[in-house]
Amino acid sequence: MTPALTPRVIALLIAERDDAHELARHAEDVLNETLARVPAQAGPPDVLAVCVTRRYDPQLVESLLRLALRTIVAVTVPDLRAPVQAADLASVLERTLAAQALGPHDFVCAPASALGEEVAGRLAAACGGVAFGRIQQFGFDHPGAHAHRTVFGGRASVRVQARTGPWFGALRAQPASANKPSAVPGATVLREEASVPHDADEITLLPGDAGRRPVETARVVVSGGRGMQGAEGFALLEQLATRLDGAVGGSLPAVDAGWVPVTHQVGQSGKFVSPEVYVAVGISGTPQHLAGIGSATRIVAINNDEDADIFRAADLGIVADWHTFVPALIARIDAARCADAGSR
Amino acid sequence: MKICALLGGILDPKWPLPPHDYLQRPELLDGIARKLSPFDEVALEVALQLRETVPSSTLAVYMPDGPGAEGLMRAVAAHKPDQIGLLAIDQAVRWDVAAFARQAAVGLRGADAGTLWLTGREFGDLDDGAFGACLSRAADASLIAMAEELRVDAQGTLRALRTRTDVTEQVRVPHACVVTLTNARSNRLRHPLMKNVMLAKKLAIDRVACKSNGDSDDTAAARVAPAQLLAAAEANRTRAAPLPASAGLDAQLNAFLELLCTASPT
Repeated sequence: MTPALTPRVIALLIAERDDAHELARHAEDVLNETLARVPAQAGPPDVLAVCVTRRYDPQLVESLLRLALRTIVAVTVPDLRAPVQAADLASVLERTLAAQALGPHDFVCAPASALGEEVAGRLAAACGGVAFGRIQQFGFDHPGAHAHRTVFGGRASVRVQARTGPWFGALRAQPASANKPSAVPGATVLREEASVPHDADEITLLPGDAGRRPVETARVVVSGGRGMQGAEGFALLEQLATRLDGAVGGSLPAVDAGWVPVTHQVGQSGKFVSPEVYVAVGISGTPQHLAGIGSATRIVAINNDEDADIFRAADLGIVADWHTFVPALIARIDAARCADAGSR
Repeated sequence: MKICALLGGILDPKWPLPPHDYLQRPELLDGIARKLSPFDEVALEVALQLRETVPSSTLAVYMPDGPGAEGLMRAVAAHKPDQIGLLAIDQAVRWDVAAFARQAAVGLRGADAGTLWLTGREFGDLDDGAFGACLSRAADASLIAMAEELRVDAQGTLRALRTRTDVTEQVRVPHACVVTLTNARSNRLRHPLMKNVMLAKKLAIDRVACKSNGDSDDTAAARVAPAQLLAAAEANRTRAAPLPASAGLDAQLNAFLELLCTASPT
């Protein structure tokens, strides 16, 4: 049996900043996931990308044209606020999706970030769609669509389904596809300009922590948990992260205690990170925390409790007191760098 | 000002989930203890703080009814809200946040719970953030997501504080608004007084209907259903035994640096 209408996948390319690399990567994630679920004989999938930025970026559009996208809608919103507001993006995207004839056979994917999740939720509510939430996979059924998502604080993974769409989800980063499909010949690029008028008094800004590097894009993340026992330990983690060209994160108890800002929380209810290496210091390893770490990431756990659950998930477990281990590690890295510099 | 905290409740994460398929047999979960999620606690604490700040304000707290909900609501009642109740939401819609939010909104409106609704950034065990958006839509209210505090500024305007990557935002809270709260140092839930804990044990708790007569079947029906339990989420991560302290600090440091060199050569 074949479906009455071909399903369409819509990738929402949105980010905190107009970061062309991050936007294109989400388009690739959506394509990888779509291609993984669509049989090869079915031909190129119908994937549309809607990209929202403050300024038109020809290089971004050029990189999107190299992907297997049928249509690219580049929406420029010069008056988008900074920091970007999910409400503004949702308002722009609601109009754009309506113009693209959003229908009951469309699966709309936002990136799995706090911003993407909020925008996907707002759009699902506004468009009368199905809110699947944060998803790891999606696919189409006859009829309907399904998605894989974690529930019960990351302790279980479930396939959920809905017969009618449009469906909305925030898709987590996908493993790169081995065989990259070529660009779609004659792909359409549409340029739109939009505006989101706002009351200047609605949001006032206070200076924040501009020096912290975001965890989502770092190649190494050094995270601390309850076992750090205070903010002083995080200063040491910051030193380690700097040497590893990484970012500092924290578990929910560390955020609760005020040792690290909520924007750097890793876990089911925080950021999802997929760095090359994740260093967990003084973190017990609850399923809720581990749910925020990509499956391809190598985890190093440092904990003085040899029975800590984190060791079950770690590629390398080190039973040690961080007070001793982390300064020794910093000293060893510094010594190695000095020796390396001296030998050149 | 009427403040309403809507709490979800979760299965106690310290209890293991049953090994059998609880999607098909949800009653298998009934025996597991319930507790407030970290975000429920935040919503309750921020609501309590706001009641203390704004003279003549009242606080109502609601939670979906279900197994263990009454006991959990008694724990909440020990914080002395002015009004409490359990929402009689269809169990059939619990996987569909939009349908769940529509029923919750009907219940809260029916309970005259005001127009400022506070809830955690995630609602219960099955939501990861879409509930707030759906609730605000159902309530025809604005949404402010991921706030940490609510404060009245010098001009008397209620503002929500929200941490972004490199700034803190103070967002004006409109009259009709759903605010979702996230955890921070300033909003850890206080402990109730023991005398109030004892009083709460005897309190009568109302049940609130969540379907109005005018609701069509479409409004109340769930569009999302669980199809298959795939696996325990952590099942795919089983790794080597940890390097003990007896291996020596040098061996531990070497192991760390070796992994770092192979995984991230820079």
